[in-house]
Amino acid sequence: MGRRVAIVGIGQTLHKKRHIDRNHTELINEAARKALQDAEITIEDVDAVLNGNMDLFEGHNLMDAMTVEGSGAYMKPGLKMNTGGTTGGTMVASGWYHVASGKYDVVLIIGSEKLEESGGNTTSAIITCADPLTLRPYHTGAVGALAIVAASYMNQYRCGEEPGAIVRVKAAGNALKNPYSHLKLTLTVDDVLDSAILIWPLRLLHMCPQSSGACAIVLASEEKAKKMTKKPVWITDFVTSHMEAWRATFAPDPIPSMQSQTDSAIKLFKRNGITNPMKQVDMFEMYDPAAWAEIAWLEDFLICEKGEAWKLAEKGVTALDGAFPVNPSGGVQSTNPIGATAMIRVAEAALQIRGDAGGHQVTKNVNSALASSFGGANWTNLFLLKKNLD
Amino acid sequence: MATEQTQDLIIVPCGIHGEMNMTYRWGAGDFLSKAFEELRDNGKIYANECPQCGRYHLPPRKVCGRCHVEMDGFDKWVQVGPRGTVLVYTVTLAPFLDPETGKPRHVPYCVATIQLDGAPCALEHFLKETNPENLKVGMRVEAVLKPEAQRKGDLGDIIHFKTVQE
Ligand SMILES: [Zn+2]
Repeated sequence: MGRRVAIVGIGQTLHKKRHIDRNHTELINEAARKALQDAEITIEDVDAVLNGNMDLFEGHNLMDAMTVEGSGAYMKPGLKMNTGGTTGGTMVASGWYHVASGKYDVVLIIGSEKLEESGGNTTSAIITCADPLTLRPYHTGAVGALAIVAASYMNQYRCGEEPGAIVRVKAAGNALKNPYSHLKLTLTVDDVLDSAILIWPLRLLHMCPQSSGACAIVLASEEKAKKMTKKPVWITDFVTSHMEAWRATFAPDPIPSMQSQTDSAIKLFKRNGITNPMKQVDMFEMYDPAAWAEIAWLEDFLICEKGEAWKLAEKGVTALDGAFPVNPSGGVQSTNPIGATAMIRVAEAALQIRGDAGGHQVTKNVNSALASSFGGANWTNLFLLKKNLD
Repeated sequence: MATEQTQDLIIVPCGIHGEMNMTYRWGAGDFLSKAFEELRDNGKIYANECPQCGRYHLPPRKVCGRCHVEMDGFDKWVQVGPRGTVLVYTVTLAPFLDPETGKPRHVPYCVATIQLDGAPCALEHFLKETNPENLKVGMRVEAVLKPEAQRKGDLGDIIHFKTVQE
């Protein structure tokens, strides 16, 4: 299993439409600096620096080399990662490998995106993930894929349009309490249901925004972590699952079930003795790029029975003061600087465990949390974080 | 392009508008080439079956991603379609850019996952119908091919799937 690894420092920039007063390197620097400050160390104490970003969006290549002065990677080892939506999760996993292997004790990981620089055409960049000969002509990026998730769920359970709107309103309310979140919207169910259809049945207000921002985490070995902080958050376990991007062609395989999510949940829960996740884990910071994804994927992650997830938000189960809070941060629905997005899930889950989330701290005591990432032509990372070592 | 001045801060635009020479040449490989030839020359759609898990692949694949075994050659392929059943569909109303041309797509358009008759497998493709009132899961559709002389040997040789009454 390798050495045990803890999250010992967390930093985020504000996430917003534009960071006009700083360039990408400076944006990264702010998140890195905050994470080091939170860990009460300096860059001198860091053994390796890892970067994550979606090259095609800003038109950079090898952005880790371009941003060395911002990240602090000068004369340090490191990697740049781009695995699509999962980038931030892949970086947490990679940071874990670096520390757990025994090769490094303290690793700084930084995810960033400055989508304001993309010319507003991330959907075309995302479509290039699809196989050009068989799928690309029929794809509309993440929006199209998420519309299929919504259409399939609604068709399967005949739940109507309202559940997606209720989940979106919950996310908006949580985001209003999170100082770092991008969209600060006071929404009603009717606002969501009246918003424009992008791809039926997915409406504008169902979809995540395009944000600029960065997130950084300091990971440390058990020995170092115990010396550095009174509040380490342990990466107890994680699973990465890939599935074929061809999923749709395998009818009658279940559609829209995301098998990579289910596979990661089966493995993670089995290894950690989890038979009833809503009872045995305290909350979930899920990669939820659209309101309907939060609903459908709670089932794919085996959190609840099939056909039950659409009722959870309405009953308040997944609210800040609910029995099983989901996305207390406001989630991806409210904030989406893509190279950072999945790392924010882990960072936010860790803040909840530390009790440091501030205005969006959940009511219940959080000793353990799930955090997920999704994207990159159907990959999942699923993390289990805990306050205490087992 | 001129530099923009916003709130005393400079933004430098970059990129090429209009003609852009970004061309690629993607190899289809022998299996997909055969499938595309059959579509182009004979108007036939084929799927193939994994000898290990029994799953059908459409269009035919050389390797099953789940089992990692090699698939059987053309003599074992199964002809499917041209009729099929809609499993799920979406209707795009926002004019996203088409990454193949860089230009906005004409809206509305409907993309569906269609289970073709003949084997349990499905194809993602366009539906001719785009009016939500006339669309439903389970509806029967049929592939409409380009005239033979205009076919190129790709999935675009199927223009779309039209609604059929049975
Ligand atoms: Zn197989």
